[in-house]
Parts: sequence; structure tokens; C-alpha cells
Amino acid sequence: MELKTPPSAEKMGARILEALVEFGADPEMMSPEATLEDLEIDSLDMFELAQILHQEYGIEVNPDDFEDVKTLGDAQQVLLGYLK
Amino acid sequence: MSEGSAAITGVGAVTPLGIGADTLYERWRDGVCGIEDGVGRCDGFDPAQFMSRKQVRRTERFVQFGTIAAREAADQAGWEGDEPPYDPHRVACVLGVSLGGTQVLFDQYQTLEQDGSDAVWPLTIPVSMPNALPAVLAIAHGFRGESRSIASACSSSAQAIGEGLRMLRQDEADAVIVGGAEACLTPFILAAFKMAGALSRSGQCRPFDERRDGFVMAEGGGILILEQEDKARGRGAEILGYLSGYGASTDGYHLTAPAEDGEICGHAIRSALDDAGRAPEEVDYVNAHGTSTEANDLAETNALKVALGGHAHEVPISSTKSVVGHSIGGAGAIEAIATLLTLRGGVVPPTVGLEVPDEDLDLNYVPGDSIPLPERPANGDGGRDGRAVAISSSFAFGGHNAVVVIEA
Repeated sequence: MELKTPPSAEKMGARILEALVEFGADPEMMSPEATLEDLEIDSLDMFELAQILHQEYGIEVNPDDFEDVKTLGDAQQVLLGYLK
Repeated sequence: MSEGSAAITGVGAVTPLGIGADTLYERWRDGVCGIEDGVGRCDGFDPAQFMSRKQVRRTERFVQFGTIAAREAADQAGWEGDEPPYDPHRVACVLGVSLGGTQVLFDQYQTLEQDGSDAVWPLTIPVSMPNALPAVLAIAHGFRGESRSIASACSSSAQAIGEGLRMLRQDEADAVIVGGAEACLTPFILAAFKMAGALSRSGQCRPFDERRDGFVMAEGGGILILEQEDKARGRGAEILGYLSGYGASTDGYHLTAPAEDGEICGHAIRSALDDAGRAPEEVDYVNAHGTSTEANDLAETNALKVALGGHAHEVPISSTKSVVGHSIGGAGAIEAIATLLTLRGGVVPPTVGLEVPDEDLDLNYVPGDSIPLPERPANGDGGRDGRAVAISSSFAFGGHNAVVVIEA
């Protein structure tokens, strides 16, 4: 498998927001406190996001890690945690 | 409601003639044809005008047609906030589709070939699945009763309408959203139909004309709201008309061609009339399947003679496909709506493009201009409640025949 260089946290955070807007989330509502429900982000969006992170950065996202995630900030914490 | 009619309280359509059921009927009545360059495409349809960016991204075109048509139908039925005025578990949904989301499916197959399995879009299945439309409508309208799709090619949505009638008669639901949609004008599907010898070589849809040479592929969708009549009256809904009968049969003859003698198709027509408690002589209008293929138009003519006897030569018959083409899984619903609006409008739209009669096809296919619907007695003789009666027929690849009886 091709090894990919991990992105910076800043770059990956920006890519996550860009992807969620592309999926249809309202960019005006984006804030760490915004709930995924309010942003209408559901499990299908997370599958798409996982695919992007895998394709672009080689990161394997585990869906179980999102069981307790409620807000965009929570989701970003989990996703950025994969960089460690 | 163990027998009898279902009340039709709302209709909606997206067709090559435009958005809206009235648009479909009025433009057809005026002789406008929505077929261009050999296909019936819904060119003016922009889903972004009606749906959020997320909804558009997560729906194939056939689902978008059905979603907008359902919203129109629910509005007309007076469903406040587009939600049904009944216990949600007593509202069902049965919709026809033949192929489903073909564009996404084939795009993603190419992605698989080019970039491997990890690159395939995670939403491929939920977006392209043939049952996507009832799933999306349940989210949009909040019903929680049984829902599903029926796939029987060109008869899909006629069968869905018939299934809705059965569910109401069996008291399985107070209301059923029925209809169907299709959007498969993709190069692959067009090529497949062309190579099966079904498509018009000239690109012209001329039902019942001696020059007819195949059908014109189209896209579109139609939705009807059916309700138990007493329940609809109880909530003060305007009843647009009635679905009074349904009949079906299967040729068991050939994978694509109808049996020329029309016996089996005719049986479906007679079954539908029997189910409606109507005699052949009571039929005021026939909305034909009328595809413009050599085989269908001859078999359908024979079927009407089998089913209606001498009355087949009296009743006006016209083909909606002459102006919108053949939208496969959406056709039966679009044509049922056109049939209802013909009865309500009192004017029979013509079979557009029919100019050169075929000597083997000797019925009244309404060439040229619209004609008035034959007058019926106000009540009593030959007319239950003075209603006008029509049949709408669908005959499919696979030999699936489905006929609905509509009154208004």
C-alpha cells in the first residue's frame, strides 16, 4: 500500500470542514459547538468523510470512535486524534 | 373500505411538458409536444429550485422527479405541512420504477474500474436503489405505514396504483401515496433499448400511425394521493376523482413483444372494468398505452376490441406518450393523472403525430385536435353518479399488463 504523508492538524481540520460543506452542511452554521444533528451530518456523511481521509491521507477511520460524538468539535477531536 | 373506489385527492407530475399535473394536461390538450431530438427529457427541471443542496446531492434524478411530484400532490390534497392528516402508521406508499438510479450506478462502476473499490462512493447504493423514492418520501412526509417499490417495466406505476387500491380496500391504510418515476436517459440504457429493437429509428413518436417505428424514451414521474373515500370526506378534502377498478394479467408469451391477438391484454381491461362494476359501454375515454411500436399499437387495438366489443369503435382513445414519450416506470402514473384530468377537463387531448392511418388500426385514436369528452347522462342510465369513466392501460416488457379505471 502507498504510504502517504500525514497532513498538519490545521490542514486536515480545514479539509474536514471543506468536505462537510461539500456534503451539504451550511457553512454559516459551522462552529465547534454546532451539533452534527443541527448541521444535518449523519452516518452517511461520516462514511464519505472516512473515505476522503483514507484516500487523501491514508488514515483509517474507525466508525466506533464516533459513538459518543455529538458536536462538530467532538468529531474534529476524534479525527485529528488519528494524526497522533 | 372492503370494496369500491378510492378517492383521489391530490396529483403531481414532472414530465417533458414541464412541472405540474395541470401543465401536463393543458399543454397536451393544446397539442404541445415535449419530445425533442428523439427523447422526452425534462429539460426545464432544476432540482435545486425545490430541494436543499444535500437533498439534491443524495438523490438520483428519478427520486427528484418523484419528490417534487409528491409535494405537489400533498399540497393539493391539503396535507398540512405536506404531512398526512392520519395516523402515520395508517399511511402507506407504493411506487413504480423499472431501473432506478442508473446514472450513479454506472458512474461508480467506472470509478471501480479506474480507481479501485476503495474509491467507490459510499452513497452509491442508497442513492441508486430502486426503492430510494419511497424511502425519501417517508422522510419528507412522515408516513410510517408499509412502503415499497414495484418493478414491472412499463407497468410498474400502474401496478403500484392498483396495489394502493387493494391496500385501501383491505383497510390496511387510510391513505396511500402511489405513482412512480424513472430517469434513465443515459447513453448505456438508451443503447440497450435501441439494440433490443424497441426505440424509434426516426426519433418520432407516432402512436397508431402507419409510419410508427418504435417508442421514444423519456423521463418523468407522477404521484397520486389515494384515500379511503369516507375518510377523505370526513376531513373535508376535495375529491378530484376516483380510482374504481384495477385489473392485471401476464402474457406468458415473449420477453418483450405483446401477443398480437390482444386476448391477454384484453383480459386485464375486462378485469379492471369488472372490478369497477362497469360495463364496456360505460367507458367514455381510453388513455392508451400507445407506445408507437409496430407491435404494441396493433396488440392494443386488438385488446380493446376483445375487451370493449363494438364500443371499442365508439370510444375516443388517445396516447399521452405522443407528447411526453415513454418514461417506463413513470409512465403508468403520468398517464393515470392525464386520464383523471381529461375527465375533469371534459376535453380529450389528441394523439399528436398521428397523421397517416394504418388500415389495420381502425379505432378512434383522436388524431389532430382535442375533442370534447362524450356527454354522459347526469345520473341514472349508464352513469353511476353521473361520473365519466376512463381506463388507462399499461403493457410492459415481460408481458405484465395493468389497467386502472378512473372516474370523475
